[in-house]
Amino acid sequence: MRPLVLQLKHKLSYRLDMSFLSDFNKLKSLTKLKDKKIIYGSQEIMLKELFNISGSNMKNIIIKKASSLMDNIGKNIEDLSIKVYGNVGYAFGAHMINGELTLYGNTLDYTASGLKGGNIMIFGSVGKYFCGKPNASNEGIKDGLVYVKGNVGDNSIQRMRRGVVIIEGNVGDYACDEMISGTVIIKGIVGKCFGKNIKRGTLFVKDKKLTKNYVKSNNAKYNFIDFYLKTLFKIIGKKIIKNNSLIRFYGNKDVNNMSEVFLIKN
Amino acid sequence: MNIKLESGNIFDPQNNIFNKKMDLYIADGKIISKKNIKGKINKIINCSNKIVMPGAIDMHTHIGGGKVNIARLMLEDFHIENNKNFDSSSIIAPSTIKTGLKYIEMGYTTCFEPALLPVNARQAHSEMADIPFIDKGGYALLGNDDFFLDLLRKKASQSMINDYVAFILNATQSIGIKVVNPGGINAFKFNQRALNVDEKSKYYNITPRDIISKLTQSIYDLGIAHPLHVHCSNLGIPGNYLSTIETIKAANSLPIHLTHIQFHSYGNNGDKAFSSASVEISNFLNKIPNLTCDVGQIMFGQTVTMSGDSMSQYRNHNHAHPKKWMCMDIECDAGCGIVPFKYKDKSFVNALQWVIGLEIFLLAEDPWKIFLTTDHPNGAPFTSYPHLIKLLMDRSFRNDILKQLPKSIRDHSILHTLKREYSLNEIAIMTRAAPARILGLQNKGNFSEGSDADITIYDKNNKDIENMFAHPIMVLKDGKVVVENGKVKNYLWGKTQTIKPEYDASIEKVLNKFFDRYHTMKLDNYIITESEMSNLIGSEIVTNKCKYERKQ
Amino acid sequence: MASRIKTNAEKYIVCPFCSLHCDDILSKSDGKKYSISSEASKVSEANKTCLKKIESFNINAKSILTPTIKNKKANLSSALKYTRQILKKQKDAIIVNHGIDVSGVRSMLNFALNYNCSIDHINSKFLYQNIGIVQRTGYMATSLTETKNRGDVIIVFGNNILCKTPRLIEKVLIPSNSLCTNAKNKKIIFIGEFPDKLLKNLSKKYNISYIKTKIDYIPDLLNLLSDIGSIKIPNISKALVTKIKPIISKSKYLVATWSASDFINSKNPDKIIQAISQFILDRNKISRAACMPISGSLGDTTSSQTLTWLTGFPSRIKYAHGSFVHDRNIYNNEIIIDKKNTDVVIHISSLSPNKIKINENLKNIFIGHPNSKFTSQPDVFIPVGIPGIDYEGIMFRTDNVVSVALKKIRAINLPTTKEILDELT
Repeated sequence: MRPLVLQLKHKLSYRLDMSFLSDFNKLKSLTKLKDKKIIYGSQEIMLKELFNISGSNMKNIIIKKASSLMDNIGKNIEDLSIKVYGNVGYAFGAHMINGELTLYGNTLDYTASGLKGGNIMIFGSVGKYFCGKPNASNEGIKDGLVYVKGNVGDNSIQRMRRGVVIIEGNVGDYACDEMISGTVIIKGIVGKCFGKNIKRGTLFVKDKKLTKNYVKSNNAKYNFIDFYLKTLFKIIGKKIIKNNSLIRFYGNKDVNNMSEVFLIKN
Repeated sequence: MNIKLESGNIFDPQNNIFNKKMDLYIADGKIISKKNIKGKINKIINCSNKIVMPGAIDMHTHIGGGKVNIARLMLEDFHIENNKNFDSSSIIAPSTIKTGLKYIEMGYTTCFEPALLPVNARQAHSEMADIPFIDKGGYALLGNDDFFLDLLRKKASQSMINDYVAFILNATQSIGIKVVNPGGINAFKFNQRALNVDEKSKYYNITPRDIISKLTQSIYDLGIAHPLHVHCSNLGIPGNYLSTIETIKAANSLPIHLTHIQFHSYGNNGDKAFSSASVEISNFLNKIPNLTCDVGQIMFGQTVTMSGDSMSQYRNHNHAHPKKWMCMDIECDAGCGIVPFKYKDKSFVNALQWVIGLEIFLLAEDPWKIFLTTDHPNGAPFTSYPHLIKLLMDRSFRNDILKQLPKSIRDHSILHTLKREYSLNEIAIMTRAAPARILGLQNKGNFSEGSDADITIYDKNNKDIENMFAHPIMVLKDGKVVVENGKVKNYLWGKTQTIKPEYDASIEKVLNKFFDRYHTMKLDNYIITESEMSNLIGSEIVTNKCKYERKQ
Repeated sequence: MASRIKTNAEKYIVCPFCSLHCDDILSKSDGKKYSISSEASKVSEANKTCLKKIESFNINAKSILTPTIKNKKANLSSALKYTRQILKKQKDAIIVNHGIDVSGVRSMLNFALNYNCSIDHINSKFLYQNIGIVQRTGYMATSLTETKNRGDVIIVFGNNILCKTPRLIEKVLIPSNSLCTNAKNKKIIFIGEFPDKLLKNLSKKYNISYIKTKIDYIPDLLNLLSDIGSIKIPNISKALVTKIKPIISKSKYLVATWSASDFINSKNPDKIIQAISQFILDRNKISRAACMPISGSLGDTTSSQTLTWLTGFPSRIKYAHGSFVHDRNIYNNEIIIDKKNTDVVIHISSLSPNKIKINENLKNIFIGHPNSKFTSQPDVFIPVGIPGIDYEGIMFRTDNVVSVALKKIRAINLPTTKEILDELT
């Protein structure tokens, strides 16, 4: 079965809430999908009026020529694979439960906020409040893997509980605030106030200033980390850290910081 | 318009009619006898094989006011999970539109907001005015406001207190007076974390007993139908049944209504220091003539607790689920606390709470003295009433659920030994006639000539009692068909039920001085007039009569 | 509009123009022009700015009393007809609320239901900072009268809060009468960047302390004050902190107050409010303390309260073919209007003194009071009365629990916003 391809017929004039994608598994047939009612502006229209639709695999979706007016792509999805070409709007992959999201473009704020599982690969940059708390809740991402090729805005990765976040670019201010646990890899430079009130978690960083409040550990071999990273690279299809280039630091227990930092040497 | 409801099985406990096949006539929104009908019958509704009851009355449900709105705001993530329908909000903190829809679909036609803060009354009435279909009303909160406590401290005369109570009922357009944790909310503002019935508050030097006895006396003197509506001291604390009993005694044999008694019937026996005191409480309920209570049954699942009792809510905030909560001190008037909560059937404490509520229902001998509530949404949302009715009417259904609860529950309760099953007659009493009587609503909860034609029609052939009560096939409000075949047909707006006892205007002078000195608003602005009710707030009022002329 | 105005009688008005909604101001009106009598209302400096503001809504030469279509005078029925035509053609419309009473919000929702348009309040971004604390963690709150009668130590955070609610200090923070505290002994601690002149004036009359610091350092400063951590904050002396600490630790009822819009220049305003809230929570373990955020200068609280009880959501909602949808990002009026992602903007402004930004590239319908100011002419302007001046209404005060009944003091025959919206629905 060929993947389902959605391509906009015209340039969008109004913001478009794309959270209807999460309903696709419930639809019984392709005709039902094409006739699905969606809200665009003040109008209720059928999906086929806005998009050219081809292909038939409703679990494997490709969105071509996306627009930054498309919000909530991948919100609440379960067992869907969505590939998006072009820039997208707010809340990309927010509240995602399971599935695969791939984006060849940039996103706006609230990307992957409230993530519960699944993989998100972004080959571009993202806005503020990335991997953060959803608006009306105090819980950060609970699981899942997120990879970002580009840069990340301010106030990202707040109250993260589980999961893996990999950022190849730079990160804005106030990142990893109140982190509870999970793994974060940042290869770029990090802004102000990083990791305030962090509790636990494993951080791989290149920015040396982050190790300032940490204690250097002795020079033991980290066999498990090697294995862990290898598995991770397999998932994202790319080797981003050299295995034998890590120096381990651990947090200061006096301030209840039980996280650990691996400094990546050049 | 004249309507005939033909050969239904009528339940009208007020007039001693139980399951009697007969016709019912409606003219201009009121019940009428056949002989008084003028003109021809415009519409005949066939009610054979149907159960016909007066519209149900919920006498304790938090449907409007500041705290409800905070809960709606706080639980936005629960609304979003539900936003597929018109009534997008979550049932644990429903929007006004959803509240009306769900009540009328269940055949409830009159509801009362029990915690109407006088200073917040304008908001509460505005919210309730936006609830479609149902008639509503509120009980004004007293007993924690600084003005009243100051009166008590200064040993003001009973007649002055009566004036104040009567003024509050008039100014807030309420139908009753409620006291929440008497003196406790006020004491919490002075950093007291608990207050027993005979404990003096630090600042005012007054005990909860003083407050209860003054207020019950006042309501008796004024001839207000609804007894003092009391949320006792020490809510939720193991062993609190003793303070509940002391509260009953504080009323000095005058009428008193204890609300959500389930939360106040806890013993502290057994290995977990938490046990059921339903037997002790029921003994009092069955023995004392002027005592009534509603239960406040809990159901398992997510809900939100909201109460004026900021002292208790602050004490319980660590149990919040999800982990967020709010408490507020309000305008030298009272307070409020909102704590989302999930009752878990695996938890010993929650399971025992469920058991205690049912035990109280089943041990109460007189259905005229006990009312069916879940203290919406504190115990469970009001939509669980049909389920609760089935629990009361079907012993095997009840026992099946009991078996799924932690085993240790059996050692701590007598529920499995209680064989009683409620009859349809008794359900009709406790959800219709009894609440109407205790609230003094002469035109509600019965089919006497001239009463409001609020009528619920159930399918007699429905074997599942829960389903039958959840989906009446027809509901009439003021003689108009609003629900037909289980679906809402047209929107209409109910009225606000009030009572207006007389008072000596000199109390306003005293209050004026107090307001100008200590409040941040003027007394004029605090009072809600009848014209404001209809023009700005948007609800017509109905003034109910006092039982007798003022005594003092 | 039925009730008649007694001319030249003194009457208390309920001020609709700030979230304190004071009702102790006397007005005199000849039916058209009103004045605020300054002898009768105890005049203070703060009071005078309020009087000026209220009087500025009097009809003047620039007031627009007849509807206009493309800046040309028109009668009401043709303005309504033209508006209906615009609305008929719209494929996306947004209502921007610049301040209105409860009846207006109710009608606004009804209107939105009819045209499937979205609703946002101009101050939503500040509103959401205070709502954020309710929705994420909750907090301990208090109201104005409680603060007046019980608060013994008050911490004021921010920089501009006293300009928005000029009478906050004399009415609430340090009033002349207080029921349970000694009004003379009340202490105020200012934290933030306040104008030096203002504090100098205040210090002549009241017992105040001041910690001057950048807004972003507030969380660290609060940690210092409660002995958590020992981060150094630029320009803050140890001596000052040691001086302030006992004031706080001796307090019996501590009140923290702020205005979310003061934190707008911070990169992380949520964090500041969260830190204040946490500080208050910790304080409650030993003594009593509560927060009292100030907001609602343009009817924000009225709008959020009313919409919340009607729909479950405070702002940024849309009625979309059968259900209310809420999305804080999608229905943000600023972005939508700036990027022209809509056809029609309906501005509703019954009490805003501000110059309202209008995007000329969109169709603009403006339902506003006669003294409205805008950056460019809207397509249609329909003048309406001001709640509390021209008609009776209900509005909510900053503390969300008290709502006031606004009065009518002038009769200049303008329709209410509700009447116009209902007519268009």
